[in-house]
Amino acid sequence: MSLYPIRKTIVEEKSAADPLAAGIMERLAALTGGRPAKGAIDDLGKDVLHILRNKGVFLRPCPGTSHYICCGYRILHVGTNCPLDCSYCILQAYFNAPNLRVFSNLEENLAAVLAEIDAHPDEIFRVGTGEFTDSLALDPLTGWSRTLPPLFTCRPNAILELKTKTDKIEGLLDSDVRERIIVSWSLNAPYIAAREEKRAATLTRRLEAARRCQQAGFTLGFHFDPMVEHPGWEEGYAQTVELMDRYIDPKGIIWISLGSMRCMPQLKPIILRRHPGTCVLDGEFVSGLDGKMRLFRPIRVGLYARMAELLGSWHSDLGLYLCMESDTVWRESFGWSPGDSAGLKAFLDSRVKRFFGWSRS
Amino acid sequence: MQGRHLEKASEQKKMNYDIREEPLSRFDPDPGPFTLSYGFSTDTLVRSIEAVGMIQPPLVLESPSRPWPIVCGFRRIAAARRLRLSSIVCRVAQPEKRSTIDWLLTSLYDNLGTRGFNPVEAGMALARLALHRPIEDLRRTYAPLLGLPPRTDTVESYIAMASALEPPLKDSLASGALSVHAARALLDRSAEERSAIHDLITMLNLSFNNQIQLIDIIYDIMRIESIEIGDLLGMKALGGVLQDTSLNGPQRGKAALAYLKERRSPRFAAAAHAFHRKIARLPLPKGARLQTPPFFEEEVLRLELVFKNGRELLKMLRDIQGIERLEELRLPSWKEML
Repeated sequence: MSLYPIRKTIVEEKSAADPLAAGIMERLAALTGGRPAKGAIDDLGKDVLHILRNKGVFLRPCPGTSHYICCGYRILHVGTNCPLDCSYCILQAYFNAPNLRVFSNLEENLAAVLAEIDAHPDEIFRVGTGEFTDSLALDPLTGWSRTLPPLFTCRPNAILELKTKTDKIEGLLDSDVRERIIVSWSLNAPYIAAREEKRAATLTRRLEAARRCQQAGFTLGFHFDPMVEHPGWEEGYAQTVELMDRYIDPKGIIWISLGSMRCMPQLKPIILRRHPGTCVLDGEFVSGLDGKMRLFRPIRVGLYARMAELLGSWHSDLGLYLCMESDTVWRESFGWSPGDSAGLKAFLDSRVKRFFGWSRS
Repeated sequence: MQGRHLEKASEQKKMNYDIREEPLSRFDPDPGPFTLSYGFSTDTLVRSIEAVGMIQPPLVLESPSRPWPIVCGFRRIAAARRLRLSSIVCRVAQPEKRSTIDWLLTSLYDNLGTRGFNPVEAGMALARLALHRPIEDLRRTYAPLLGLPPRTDTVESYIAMASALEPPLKDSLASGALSVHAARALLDRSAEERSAIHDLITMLNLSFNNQIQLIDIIYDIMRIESIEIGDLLGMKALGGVLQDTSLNGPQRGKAALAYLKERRSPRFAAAAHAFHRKIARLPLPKGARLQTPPFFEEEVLRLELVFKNGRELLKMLRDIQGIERLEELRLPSWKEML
């Protein structure tokens, strides 16, 4: 199984005895034919794997944003940063060290995570690991796809979404757990995928991986976020939808989210410094109600409306939703709106119930 | 670390030096390794020396083979030169009595005790200290002494500003005409770009906020349109604004920024112009102002009414109610804005 390059590893003292840390180091040695050099605490980079204990909470609400409609997602905080190098990645400004960080005390904290889910049987927990890292990029080392799904598959009020831009699905396919597990891919127009999503799998490989997962019985999700207005964007996104049609049965898709490029103003100089050739900041940005830079509203609506049209002509029931958008943008783009964050949560929860059933324990 | 420096500073008080009258021609006319002054005026000092003489003798290092370096009192000596004095009383120390860093610290603490540093001087101090101290020491100990946040990137950018910016930019930065934020933003660019943008900022006399906006927009346009600074600033439309004699300074600055914003965000600018034209045609009573939502991000309009009393308010409301086809007033749809 291929692996993103790991040049150095840092195992914090308190993590050394954790089984996850030992397992990662063992698998790393097996996959690379030896152990990478030991790093120092101030070694920075996407090729430095830092294994440490998370001192914070493992299950946390998605930060979302103020003044816009958010979906009530929960993040299972298994690690931070990822070996991919997408120009638009918000994590470049979110965390102060670019190291790949994996939390070795995940397993001992899962009981508390599950207890919280079990304590609220009337609430559906849509949980994902793909917000602060890529869910599968490090899976050959971490084995998250083997440890986590069995814990969620048996819970009637939860789903686990593994979100990725890779094709590292071997761990998932090897497991026999399918129920309540959603494997999701972030997609984009070919121009953006090729130019802005460095080290990610090609669109074709992502969709091939998605097809294999679908054939193996997994429910799929897709995310077009951030959509970027670029020369030929309409054609570009149409090509991606055409590719999806070639590889995927749309009936097995629980949801597809759309979002457009947005960022905190302080991310802009970081993006320009790290990715000088990027086009993701070329659009007409304005200051949103939450203080983040967003594309001028009609441009966002134009992107979403066209995408809704393209996807709608493929299949009428894809669970299309918008990430961090206003009621106005919803109505202008889709012709309907969930009204508020509670409405969007209810909409997505209803998709969960439809796909996986709902029986209160 | 700070304690050690304070201790050294107190040792400095015990330092042996001669107080003697020396000819001004002995002293290094250039700032040398210890001077931390930039962009200063000697006017006040000249008046003071004329009135009461030089109260505090400068500290210089005796040097047999070269001009004597000035540790403290570069401004005083410059003022004495302006006054065409032939000699002054000064404290003369032997350079070998202390290390270079200690002489530098003497200068630093002497200056800090009497005045604040402008950004160029802070950068000069850090740049000189960087020759003797690790960056972590500068961040933790000296940045706070200079009134700066204890951040490595701050230390690095102040050093870069003092070392890399051209004299006209440093002059503007030292005098407060150019903001630190703007100067930092200019650091990454070529000397040609820096100089052109600095000239524009100076010509337009922009506020600190507008300086940053201008730089940001110019960089965006250059990047997106792949054009050079000379081509952008040489555009006829912008030239027209810059040379429009009917505009006063602030109006010219506002017009130049508006032109650049329009060029950066043409669809937003067109939508805003169109809607403003539309609401300008509404015969609103005096004291009533209709405000569009910032960037059309919200779907609400705001009406501001300024009135003296209830009677005036009622009249305004009646006038507003009487506006023909007011019920048709609405924000443009997204398609209308594209």
